[in-house]
Amino acid sequence: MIAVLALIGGIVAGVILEPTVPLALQPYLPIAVVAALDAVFGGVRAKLDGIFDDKQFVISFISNVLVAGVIVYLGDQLGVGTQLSTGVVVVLGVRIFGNVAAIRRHLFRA
Amino acid sequence: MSLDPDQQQAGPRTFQADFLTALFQDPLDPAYAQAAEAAKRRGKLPFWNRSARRLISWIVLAAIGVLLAVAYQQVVRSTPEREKVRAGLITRITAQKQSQATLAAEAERLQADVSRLREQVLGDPARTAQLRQLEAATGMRRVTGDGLVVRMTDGPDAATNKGHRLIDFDLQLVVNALWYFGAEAISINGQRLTAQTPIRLGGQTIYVGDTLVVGPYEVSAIGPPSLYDDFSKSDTARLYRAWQERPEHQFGFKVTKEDDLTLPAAVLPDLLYAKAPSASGTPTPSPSGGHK
Repeated sequence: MIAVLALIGGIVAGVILEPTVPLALQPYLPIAVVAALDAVFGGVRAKLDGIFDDKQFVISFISNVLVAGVIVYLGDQLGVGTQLSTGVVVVLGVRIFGNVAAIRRHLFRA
Repeated sequence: MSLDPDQQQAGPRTFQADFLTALFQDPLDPAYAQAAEAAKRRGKLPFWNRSARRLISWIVLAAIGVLLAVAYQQVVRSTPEREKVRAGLITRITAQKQSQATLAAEAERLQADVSRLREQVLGDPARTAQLRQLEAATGMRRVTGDGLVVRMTDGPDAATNKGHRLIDFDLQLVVNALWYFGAEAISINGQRLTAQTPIRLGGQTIYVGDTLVVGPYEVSAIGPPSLYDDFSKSDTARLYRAWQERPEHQFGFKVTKEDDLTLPAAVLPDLLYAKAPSASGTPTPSPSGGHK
């Protein structure tokens, strides 16, 4: 419950404070969002499975965002940025879908 | 070498070889299960430790919320920026068009002044008349007279269907036919044609001289009384009347007889071969020159 409130609070804070993203970080924003969504849905699924672990959640979020960012950065340097971004989005997308499906089974028993 | 199951259990972590298969089968990070198992074995952590971990995960959740909000705003913000750039470009284009129009009007006025002054200097009515004739024929002077207007429009699906779009060639055909039947002066959408004015395609738009013209196109021509009949019966007119009905073109094409047309003067082209005499003319010795 507090977790949901924290998430909503973060969104509200982001809307109110309107932090400006440095130009150099802007290309990584979409990838970071996808990585964050993966961590969130993984956490929700684990919660419903009854095996949620705070440390695991925090580490998975930070490493997800960092690894995704590094992959995109490397891709940009190598000239295959779009392809690698696509790869990251596909892998994380598959995970998000799988976790959302598991959450759905938990919630609706279907 | 075979691993005994106990040893495998005790090992810190096992990694599956096929990452993608594992990913599709169970998308949940296996670390969650391992952490849960480890916690079961270890028993409950002390309260402060648990609360600290909980707190950190709430902070991370809040950070994710900020991230989502920022990413959303970034997307929303970039849209009006693009609109702004577009609107700026449009205002600049209209401003430039306006200044071009005023400059063109001024050029025409100056040209009229020049013609008038030249006639004054020339004096001789016969030569003045000859000059007027020449200027009218070359497009350097505004002309009035009876003639016809050909109105041509793109087909109804010009935006999507290439065949419905009029191109430079269509205007060239009509203009050439009009010249052939003795037209003395022709203008397209108010752009007077001279012997040197090109009608050409730039991208998807038609340029008459250096001016962009857009449909509906109005080709006005002044010529002999027979011009209307001759042109209406010409192959060109018949062709476009036929194309009016054909589904692959459906161009609009209408020829009307008009009296008292006034066609503007053309913009004076750069002279390629002819040279204007120097402004002062040949120097004349001054009456007292050289005599002290």
